Amino acid sequence: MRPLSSLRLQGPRSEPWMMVGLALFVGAASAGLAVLLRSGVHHLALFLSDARESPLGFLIPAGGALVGVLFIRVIFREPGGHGVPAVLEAVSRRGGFLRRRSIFSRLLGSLVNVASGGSAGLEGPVAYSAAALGSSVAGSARLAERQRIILLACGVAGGIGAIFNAPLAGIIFAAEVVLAELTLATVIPVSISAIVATEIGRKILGASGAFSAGSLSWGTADLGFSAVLGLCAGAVSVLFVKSIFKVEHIASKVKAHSVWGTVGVVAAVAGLLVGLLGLLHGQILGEGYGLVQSALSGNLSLSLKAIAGLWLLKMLATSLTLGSNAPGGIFAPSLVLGALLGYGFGSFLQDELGIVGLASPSFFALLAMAGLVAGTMQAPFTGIFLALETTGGWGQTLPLILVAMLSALVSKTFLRHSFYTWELAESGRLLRPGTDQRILADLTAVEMLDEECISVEIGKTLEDVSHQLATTHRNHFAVLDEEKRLRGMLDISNLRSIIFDADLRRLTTVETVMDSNIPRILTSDSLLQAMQVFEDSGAWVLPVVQSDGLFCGTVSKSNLFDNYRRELIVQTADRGE
Amino acid sequence: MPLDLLHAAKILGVSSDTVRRWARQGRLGSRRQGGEYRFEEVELREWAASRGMKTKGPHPSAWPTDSINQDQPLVSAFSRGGVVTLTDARSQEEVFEQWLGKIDMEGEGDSSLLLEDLCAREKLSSTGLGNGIAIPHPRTPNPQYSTKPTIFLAQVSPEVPWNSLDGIGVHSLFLLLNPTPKEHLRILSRVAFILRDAHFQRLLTSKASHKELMEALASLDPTAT
Repeated sequence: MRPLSSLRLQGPRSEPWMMVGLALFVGAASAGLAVLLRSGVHHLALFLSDARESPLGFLIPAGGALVGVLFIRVIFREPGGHGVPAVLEAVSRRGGFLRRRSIFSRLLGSLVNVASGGSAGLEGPVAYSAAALGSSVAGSARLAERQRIILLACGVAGGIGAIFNAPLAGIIFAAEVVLAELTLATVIPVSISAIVATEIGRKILGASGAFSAGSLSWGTADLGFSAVLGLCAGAVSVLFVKSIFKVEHIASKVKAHSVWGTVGVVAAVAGLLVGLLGLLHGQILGEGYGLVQSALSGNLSLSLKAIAGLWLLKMLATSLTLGSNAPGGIFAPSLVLGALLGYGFGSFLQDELGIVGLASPSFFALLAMAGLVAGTMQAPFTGIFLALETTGGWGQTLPLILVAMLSALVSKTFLRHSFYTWELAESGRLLRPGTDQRILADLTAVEMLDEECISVEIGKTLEDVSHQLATTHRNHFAVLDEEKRLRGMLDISNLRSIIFDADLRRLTTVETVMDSNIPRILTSDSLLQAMQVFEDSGAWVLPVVQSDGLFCGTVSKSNLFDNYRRELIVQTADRGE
Repeated sequence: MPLDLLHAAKILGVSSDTVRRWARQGRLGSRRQGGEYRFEEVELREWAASRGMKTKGPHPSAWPTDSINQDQPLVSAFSRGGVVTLTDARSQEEVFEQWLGKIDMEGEGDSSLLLEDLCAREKLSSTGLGNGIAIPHPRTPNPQYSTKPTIFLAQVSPEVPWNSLDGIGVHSLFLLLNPTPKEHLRILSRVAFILRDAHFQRLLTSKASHKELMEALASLDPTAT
């Protein structure tokens, strides 16, 4: 029988409970941020609605983009954009650390930008703000990085859950996109946060879903057409992401020139273009959720051509807003583009091809919403649950899964990474838990130093150092100067011809036989970098120096292997818990 | 007593930078004390065992470490061994079986061989000294059992018959493992010396704490010359 003390409520067993407690708090605070942003946008948009009617109303999005960017860049001193990549980078590279001021930077920036007509969503920014909030709470509680990352994810799930009234979508987004990890240790606090946040959001913002789909029915034939729609949604997602990156690319080129490089100018010009596009059709401005609702309730009384035009306008406007780094997220535009695509697809089947007995265009609109989210984020489950929870279309799970998966498949075929992960992954900064890259980046050279390391002083002869040779089984010696700086390495196995000859030993100084061009490893080098040096040089043992050149020790290939294996055990065990 | 970074690193057999990173990342449980990481030895060993990682350093049956001076041959021999309490043993064989199951042998020899060896030695003549004390040892010193002089102490309750000259059962057993006859003689004479000390005998019969025993040992054992 185990002693009663094994039921202790300390250490590892109490940790999940502490995390749940903190998650409650983070969830409640994230809901506050979501409410602040949602109602802030509502009121500011109302306030600006009169001005928008005036002849110069098309200038408002430019002003909003400028103010939004200035907020973030000048007042909060942060890079622009919607922030989700910054959250991913914090998780990957900085142990979940986000600055406290980040709680409000993108929140306020996107509030102004979206309310004044920037074609973007609020979900990315609220996820970023709430993530920074979770990170700050963890910092105040002096938690370790793993726990800080969990609280950061709690913020993300809470923010998304509250602003969409979609707790599952929040949880899945946090697990699928932010953490890339679904374990009990992570999913329980994240869910608790989403529950609390969503309920608070429901109480303040209203208990209905963001949209309502009404009753939709479908048959086996519709499933077949859903597959086609899924492929289309994937293609559109690829087009959409590439179009944003294209604008981003152009914007960065333009910024290289002096005047245009001034903070906010490019975003303001892009905002101006968005405003002009808005003159063609006002509903492409802002989040555009009105379009989604019209598509879902089947009263989008537009011709097929008009829908296609509207779709093109929305994509252009969003590419301009997001590509110019004006604050705002990609969730809302994806949903709008999806709804338009699906509605157009359904109308095309019915009106142009004359197929009868199919589900309504609204049915396809709902599916394509999930498809676009799945495609742009390469996160099919986020798309599925977001569509389900925001529309209440629980009867459509089967075709939804099909569309989301096919869209993600097409997206993955043509895009190496998702909209969120692109920049990080391309520069090797995306490190997912339990992966090879994670382990190779976590281990640093200073952790892998050989236990025994023999060094000799420069100026000595082989005779002087021969007694050291006798007492060790090592073959590699570091040669140092008086200040302990590395001058070279001595490989005894290369010296057999002289080491046994007493006269030659006395004649030969270590300087003359050492290898002074040996590559060095820095103490701060990661295992990945160290392995590269070993591979390039073909060496078995290499010296490790500090950045100021002082010698620290040696590392050997066999030691790298031991450390790698141990780290692999430790990191994979964490995922199993 | 909580361990600091260096001790934790020693037990896990990794560098202190690795332990610091594991603690920072939250892979390894720790506490903060004045900005420094602190670890519980039991938790550390559990953590390592659940990951199939070998731990180094003293066994849980180890002596308290603060009073150990490695200059004292006997004290360091004791510190290489450990102390256990046996409560279920009824005979000599049971004592040996349970005891060897609880100790870590540093050498290459396996414990079943040692068990046979010890029983064979007892058959030649009892190792019981009288006064409830015995000093079992293999027939011949053998570096396979330990490369350095090592003494294990077992406190047995209730007393177990050991064919001692005075007919009294034993409560304290000192298992001597020495690599060479020379070492054996040196250690044996020193053990015999401290066992004649009345204060030390009282501590043994009164089941004094391990800390008290170690302190008494340290005060009786002359430093190496």
